[in-house]
Amino acid sequence: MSKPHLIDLQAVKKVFYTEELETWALNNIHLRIDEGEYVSVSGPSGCGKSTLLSVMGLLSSFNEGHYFLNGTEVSALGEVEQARVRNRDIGFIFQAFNLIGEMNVFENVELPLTFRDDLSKKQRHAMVVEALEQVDMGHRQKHAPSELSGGQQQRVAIARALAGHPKVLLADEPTGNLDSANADMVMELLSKLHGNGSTIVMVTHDPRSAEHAKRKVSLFDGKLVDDCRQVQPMLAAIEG
Amino acid sequence: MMSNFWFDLRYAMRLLRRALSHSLLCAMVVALSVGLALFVFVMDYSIAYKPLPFPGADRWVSIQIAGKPTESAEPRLDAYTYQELLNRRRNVDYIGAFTSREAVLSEGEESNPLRAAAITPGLLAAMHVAPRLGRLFDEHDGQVTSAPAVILSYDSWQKYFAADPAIIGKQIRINAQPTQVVGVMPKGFYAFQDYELWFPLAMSPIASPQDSKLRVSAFARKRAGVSGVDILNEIQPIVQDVNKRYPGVYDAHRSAELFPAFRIYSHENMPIIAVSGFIAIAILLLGVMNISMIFYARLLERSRELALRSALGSTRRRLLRQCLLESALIVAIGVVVGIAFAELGVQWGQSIRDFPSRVLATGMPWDYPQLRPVDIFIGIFAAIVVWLASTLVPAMRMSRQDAAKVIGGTGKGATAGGRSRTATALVGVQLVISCLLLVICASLVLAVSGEVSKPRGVHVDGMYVTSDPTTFTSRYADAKARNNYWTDLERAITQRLPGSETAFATAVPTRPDDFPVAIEGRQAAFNESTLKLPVTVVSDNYFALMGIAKVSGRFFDGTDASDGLQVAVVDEELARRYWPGQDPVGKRIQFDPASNGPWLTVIGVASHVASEPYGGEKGVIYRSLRQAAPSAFQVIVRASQRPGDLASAIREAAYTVDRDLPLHNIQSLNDLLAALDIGYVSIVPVFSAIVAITVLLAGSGLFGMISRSVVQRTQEIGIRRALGSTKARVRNIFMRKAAIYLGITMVGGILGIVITSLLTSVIPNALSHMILVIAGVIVVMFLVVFSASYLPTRRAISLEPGDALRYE
Repeated sequence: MSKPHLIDLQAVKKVFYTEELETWALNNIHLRIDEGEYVSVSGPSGCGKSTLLSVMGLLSSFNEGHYFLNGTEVSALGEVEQARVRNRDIGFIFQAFNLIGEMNVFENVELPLTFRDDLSKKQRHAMVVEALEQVDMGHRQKHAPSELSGGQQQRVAIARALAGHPKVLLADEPTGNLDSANADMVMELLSKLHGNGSTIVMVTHDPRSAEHAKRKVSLFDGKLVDDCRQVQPMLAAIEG
Repeated sequence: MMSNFWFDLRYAMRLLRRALSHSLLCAMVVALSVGLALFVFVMDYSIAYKPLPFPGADRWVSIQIAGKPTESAEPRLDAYTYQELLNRRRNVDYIGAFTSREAVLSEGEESNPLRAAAITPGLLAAMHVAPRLGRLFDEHDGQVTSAPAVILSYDSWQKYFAADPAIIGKQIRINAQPTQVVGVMPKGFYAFQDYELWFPLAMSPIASPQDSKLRVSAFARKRAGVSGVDILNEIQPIVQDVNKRYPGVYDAHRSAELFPAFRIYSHENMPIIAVSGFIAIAILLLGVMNISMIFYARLLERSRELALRSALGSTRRRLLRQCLLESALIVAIGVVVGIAFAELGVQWGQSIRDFPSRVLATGMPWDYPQLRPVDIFIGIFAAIVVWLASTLVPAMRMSRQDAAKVIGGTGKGATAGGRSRTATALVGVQLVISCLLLVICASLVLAVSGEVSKPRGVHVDGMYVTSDPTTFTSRYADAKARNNYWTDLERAITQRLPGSETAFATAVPTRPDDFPVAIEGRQAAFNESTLKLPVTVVSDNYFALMGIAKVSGRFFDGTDASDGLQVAVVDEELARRYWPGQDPVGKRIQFDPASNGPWLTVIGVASHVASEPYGGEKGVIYRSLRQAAPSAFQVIVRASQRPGDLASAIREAAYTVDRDLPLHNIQSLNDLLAALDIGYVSIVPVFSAIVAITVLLAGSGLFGMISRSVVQRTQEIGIRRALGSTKARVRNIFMRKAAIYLGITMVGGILGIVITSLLTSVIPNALSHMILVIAGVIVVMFLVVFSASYLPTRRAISLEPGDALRYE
């Protein structure tokens, strides 16, 4: 039996309704991502990049289609199971870092691990230290986020995403709030992680960042218009 | 699992510390609402729900009589009616009675008044309480010819007889006669009042109501399966039959009423108890809404963090736990402080109960309030209700928010409409509850404080009085002997307290008892057959001593001989009522017409002396001490000596005149009147505190809610201004809403008037200050609502439209 795709979106549609208007944020998306891939998702503002990432991260539901993660149809799971998948299989990296100001670096990284009941405090500690070492932030464990530079904050956020050993890292404009030097540092870190076997899906509108990915996917008006391993003819996609 | 919990708890504590002032505000709201509700609960329970401490106490009912339909029922049943009930009962398991009696215990050189009651012989046995020593009374003890016998309370056995184990059978000197101790009751035994000694109540059969002036507190014990209504249906026809047979003695509409035995003295307060219970719940509700809004605002500030937690894999349950944990800590602090507040309140309540017990020497009242462990559990339970009611809904809303929208920042304004409607509804409910509470409580405070502070019309400062009447012993059967006693006592007091003045009366000023009287020529006009007016018997110098002025005629003097013309003085209030526009001097009043009592000729009119609070200003009739020679009296002394020295000097003086007639409990008149008025006086601080707490809760809650709802619309203000609206037009939108809120206050005001009107049976003038109260409430609400609307609106419209549009 062949190994299932890590992410398998089949004919996913998501529509936003306003009073007299329906807007297709995702329109018949077919997308498969295998373990170990580094995929960038790009496109103009409002094309549905972030919505696609939210759907993949189980932060948003969709109207039609199927979503399989590692062979399991996760879109059909209940709230608790979805939370479990988010916690164990997915690691999020946000544009705005989203560190909690009232927690120090260690606690921020530890936070998703506290949502698991199968880890002892000692195990959590080891996993946090390991994740922080991976992003070279082991020496800043007791610092508050406000004491760190933007690049350092994003590295902590990446450590938080990595700490639970997720199957896939979902990064939403990870360099959007950083200067070019810090942006380069973060992209190098993601490349290193990919080199170590991590699967990464990154939304970006920055072509320089997109260059780091091995596979480039483009969206336009909620449709997939470009993919080096396209799952459907481009023409069909355009015609909807 | 536990370490996860500690992780969340640590974080919640950190948030609590970070927003310390906000946390303290929330904790204070919880403390005030829970503390006040708990205090009211404890007071209400002790007054109206505390069961009496003997087996099967719930089966006992107090039989009370309302002399007229307009009068409230009292636990004073005349001996004849009691005899009829006793003889004609069919389904009532047991009927018994007691009446307070004086008991002076003379041992060696000391005489001590004891709190005593005469009880029907079978009463203690019917309570199923075994004596600690000796026996209970039997039917033989209740016969008039039986040798005097008493049962001692545990405390009096300890205090006066050093717990003598051989006390049973001993003769002790009570009321100047040898009396045998037949029993000692167990420790803590309490039968309706805190008595120190019990006599058997000897009641010989009487042929008509006029044959006995005895009044008793009567009780019935229900048989299993028999309801209070069944008993009432049985005794009511008996009472009505007695009324019919003796129309000159009883009002035709005199009726019996039944109350649970533990409510013997408190049933009249039930409207106040019910309203205060309602107020406690309303205050809790106010607190819940207040905290709910504060917590919701707090959670809104944390919406991004909560969305992030969701994105990182937190389940909704875990999010809820995190939200609830912070508020749980705040509520925990609040409940500890609230219970401390309640305890302070209860201690105040205890002092309010202690004061009259000490001044009136009535012993420990049964309704002595105490904060029991179960009350603390109730307080904690109330706090848990406050916690869940205030946090669960906002927390659930926050746990259901769209994490992607919040993190992506695309959800701005999406739920504003819903939030705005919720906030408007909450403001409306809070306004109604606040106005309702303010109207009820402020009305009561103004009404009662006006009544208790009315001028008494007598000198009070520097006056001392015996708190209970002293009853003459059988040695003083002759009126002359009594007159000689007063003369001797006055002389003895003056010798020990030079410069003092002593007077005698049968009642303290403002508290004369009502007696049946007839006013000559006025029977038809006043239905004189049952007319009862306040009558007090006073010595000649009473008026001068008490500072009561002569309006016309003269006061009593030496010419009013005991065998001469029987005379009376009336006060100007009574004169105005019964002889309007006439001079009462020379008019006649018959005292106790049913017993063919003496006709008294009015010789003078005295200035008005106020009645007790809500006693009804009926005026007063004074009789001459020399002529009436009453069987009981109180001593009033004006002196400048220190109270302690003065009391002992008066006691010593009485002891030298007759050791078997000790003067009871000498107190300053100020304290005595304050103790008698304490029930009403204590209403003022309690309801004032509720007014203050309501203003605080309503003020902070409404200001927070309204101003927040305006601030949330800052972007909308920017849009309106960008589209060309003037500042004035924008301001008017919010001012119009403020006016609607004020309209809602009227709903609360009307409900408040309705509930206050239910209290007029207890506080007759409860509605008398309503216009002032409503005006005051409107002013307070106006200040809160308009300042909460105007200030943030002004701030929002002072922003550049561009800044307002970017406002978060």
